[in-house]
Amino acid sequence: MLRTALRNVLAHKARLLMTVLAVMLGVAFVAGTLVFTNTISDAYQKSSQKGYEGVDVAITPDKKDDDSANPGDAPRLSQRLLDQAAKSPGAASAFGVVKGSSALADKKGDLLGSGFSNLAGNYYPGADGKDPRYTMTEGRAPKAAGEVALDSKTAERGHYKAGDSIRVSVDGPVRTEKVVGVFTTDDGTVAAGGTLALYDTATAQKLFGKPGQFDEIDVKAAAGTSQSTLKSSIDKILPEQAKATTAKKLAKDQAKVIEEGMSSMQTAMLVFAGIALFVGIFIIVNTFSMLVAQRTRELALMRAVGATRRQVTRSVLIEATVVGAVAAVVGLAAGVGIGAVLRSALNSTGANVPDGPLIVAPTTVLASVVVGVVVTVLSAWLPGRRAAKIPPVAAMNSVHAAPTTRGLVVRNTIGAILAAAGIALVVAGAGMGGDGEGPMAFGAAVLVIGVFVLTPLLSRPLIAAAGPVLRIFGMPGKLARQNAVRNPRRTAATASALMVGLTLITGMTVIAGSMQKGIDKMAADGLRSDYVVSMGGGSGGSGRPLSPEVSKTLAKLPEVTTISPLRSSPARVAGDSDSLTGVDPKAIKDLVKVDFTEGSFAALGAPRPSSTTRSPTRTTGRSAPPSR
Amino acid sequence: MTTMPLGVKTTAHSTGAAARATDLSKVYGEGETQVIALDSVSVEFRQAEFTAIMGPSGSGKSTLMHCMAGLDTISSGSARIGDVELTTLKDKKLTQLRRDKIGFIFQAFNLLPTLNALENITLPMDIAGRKADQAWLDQVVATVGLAGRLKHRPNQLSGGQQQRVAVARALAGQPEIIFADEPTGNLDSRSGAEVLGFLRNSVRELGQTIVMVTHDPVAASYSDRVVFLADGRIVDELRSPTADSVLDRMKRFDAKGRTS
Ligand SMILES: Nc1ncnc2c1ncn2[C@@H]1O[C@H](COP(=O)(O)OP(=O)(O)OP(=O)(O)O)[C@@H](O)[C@H]1O
Ligand SMILES: [Mg+2]
Repeated sequence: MLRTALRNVLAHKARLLMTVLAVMLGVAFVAGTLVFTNTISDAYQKSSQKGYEGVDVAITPDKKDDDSANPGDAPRLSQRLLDQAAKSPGAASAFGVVKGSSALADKKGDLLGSGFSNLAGNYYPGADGKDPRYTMTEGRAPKAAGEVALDSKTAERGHYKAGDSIRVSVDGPVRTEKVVGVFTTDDGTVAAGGTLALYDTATAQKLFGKPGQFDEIDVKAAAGTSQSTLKSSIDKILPEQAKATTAKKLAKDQAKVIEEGMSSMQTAMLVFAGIALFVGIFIIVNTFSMLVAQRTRELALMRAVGATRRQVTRSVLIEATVVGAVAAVVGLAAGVGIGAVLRSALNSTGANVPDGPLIVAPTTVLASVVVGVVVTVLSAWLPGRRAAKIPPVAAMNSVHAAPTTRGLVVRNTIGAILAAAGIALVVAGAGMGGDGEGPMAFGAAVLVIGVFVLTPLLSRPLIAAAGPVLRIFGMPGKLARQNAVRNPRRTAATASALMVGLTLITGMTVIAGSMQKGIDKMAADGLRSDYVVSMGGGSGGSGRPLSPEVSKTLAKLPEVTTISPLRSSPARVAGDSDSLTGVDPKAIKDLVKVDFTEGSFAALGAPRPSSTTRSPTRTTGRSAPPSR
Repeated sequence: MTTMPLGVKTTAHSTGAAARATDLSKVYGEGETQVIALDSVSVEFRQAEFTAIMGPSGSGKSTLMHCMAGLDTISSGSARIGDVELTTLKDKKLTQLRRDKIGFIFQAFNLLPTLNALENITLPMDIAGRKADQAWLDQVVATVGLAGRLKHRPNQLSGGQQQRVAVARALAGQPEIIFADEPTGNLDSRSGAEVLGFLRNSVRELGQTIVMVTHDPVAASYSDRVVFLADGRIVDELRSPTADSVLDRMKRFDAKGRTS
């Protein structure tokens, strides 16, 4: 039995190739997705872990959730706390971290790095005069204002070396600093293509916060002291709005964040894999149906000499298993390739993924093989059942009785019911307005399935409609028409794979088109201005205010007619935490569209001079300006 | 002719009926297109007997065989293999009966193209998950003269060799009865004679029961008994036939057919 199935696979290699390709494609997508996401998250996790190597407990400002008395961020950490932490029992040393962002220009004046990850920090020399987080490879660490050190990748990209001067933008006007050193770091963002500029601690504090304050205090444990012991001793000295976390937990949390970030990407990619497999199902069903029809006599002979129905079905399923397994293995290999290609593609877009090995996890292998085999076997199940229904006498008759139209009656009925239910749901959903989305989506899905089921019925009139075109081809055209009409089931099966593909493509085009329109409309609704200028630089960068010079410089440009600075600040309004946005009251009405339910822009800023952009002004109507 | 001493199969009741049809009718289609292929046929195939079925084209010979062998359903009446009534069997039991008790040789397309000769011979046993009786298998293979061809695929064998593989397959399982539908129809007279001689020997020496459909009086002369079928009915029977006596009978039917 097994032997017969295996021989059949070998005998029909060419025909099965289509199936192998279809399954392989789907499996390759699945495996590629898994390899890619695993590789990336592994690389990020390793690099984030490395980042915590010199740290045992980190103290960070902590904003309590229910703290409505103090809107905005929690205060930064003081030098006093740093000194206390360094002296607390179990601590070997402590260093203060200042975080910020600095956009660095290359020698042509263009931004270095991808724009969302232009980091800046402080070099905090320890007892030995070195900061354990950074290893200087060239020059020396920054010691005074006007000095900056760059990470080696950025230095290389910008062709900077110690002694050069570099244009740097922090809060305020563009500054020109002197590059005094180049260093290497394990920082994950830098490994991922970001830039990192280091200043001496005092300068960093001046640039990014208030002097003498830190964003984070990292404490190293003395030999023999565990992270949790150190944490509990530090907990005792913490001010109210600060918390201590062990490095282990930080690494774990970061890993989780990375995992979550990856999982949404993974889901999106797996949807594509699912679609590929879904199309593949039609191809598999079709191929195996053809194989079964072609082998009617062989299968009937097997039945005649004593194979039970179940054995015949099983032999088809064994074939499917072999094909699925081969396809899965090839697909897995292709998937590993896809994963590697995706990573280098991602790197070439500038977002450098930290280096790391290509991860082919056991789950990836398992998932690929299971997906490949299960999909193939399930798809071959129906043709396998059909094979079992071949009567043994078919071995003797040259033509096996064609499938009767009786089966189509059942099929058409089911299809008609599905289609009708689908239409009813869509109509009902459309009538329900906003709440109707669910029924409408469900109805649409049901309608699509109904149409698929009805394809054999629909094929006749559609082929008839194509008659005039076919007539041009004379006899071959006539034969083609008759062949297509003769077995509507077969015609439908062949058409289905194409139908799914086209349905998906049109569906996606419509979705993308609608979304684009929706976004355009939303943007046009909320915003009248032509440009929005904001600060670049991701973590720590976005949301930071632009220098006041920027708006003054822009206002002087002849092309600019109206301009309003815009600054948000957290605030407590009538007991609730809220956000206030300060704007130029004269200009803002021309720049954003706000639907007032009460009041107007007119009253805004009337009694005050309009140039006070830094003092928060509350919009009279309750409405938020468009987000950038 | 090869007369190898094949191990004689012990048949406990060698005078009983290996298969029997009683008032067997088979009707194809309905209404206007209805065809009565078999019309109340009653016939008995005794054990260790070589029976030939003859009759004009469309007289129902193949239909009778298919019904008796459990390959096709019957419309009314009864068909038995040994003591087993086929009409009462469910598909699974019927399939097992075909596998274990019945051998087949068809006119053409007897073999699975993907299996080699030996694998085709042992196919029913493979399906049953049984091991072939190696000594018996060797004897059968030697007798049909296929020893050197066992690893060949059907498309590497001549028509006569393919039929001999089919004969070997039918015999290898030591079934209670073998049905052969025009087994020599596609063969030249020499290969045909080989196959027929071999079938006759298996009846004589092994006590095998064989029912064979044929159009050829010479082929029929190898049998012990000829049953004549016309329009779905048994019309005559001839014992210990020779090619001439069979031809003689056939002529008579032809004449009858024309005058009536
Ligand atoms: N599947 C079928 N559907 C309808 N009629 C059939 C079918 N099979 C056979 N018949 C009819 O039954 C009758 C007997 O057919 P059968 O094949 O038994 O004849 P036969 O004696 O074997 O003929 P031949 O010598 O040509 O093989 C014929 O009239 C044939 O047309
Ligand atoms: Mg016939």
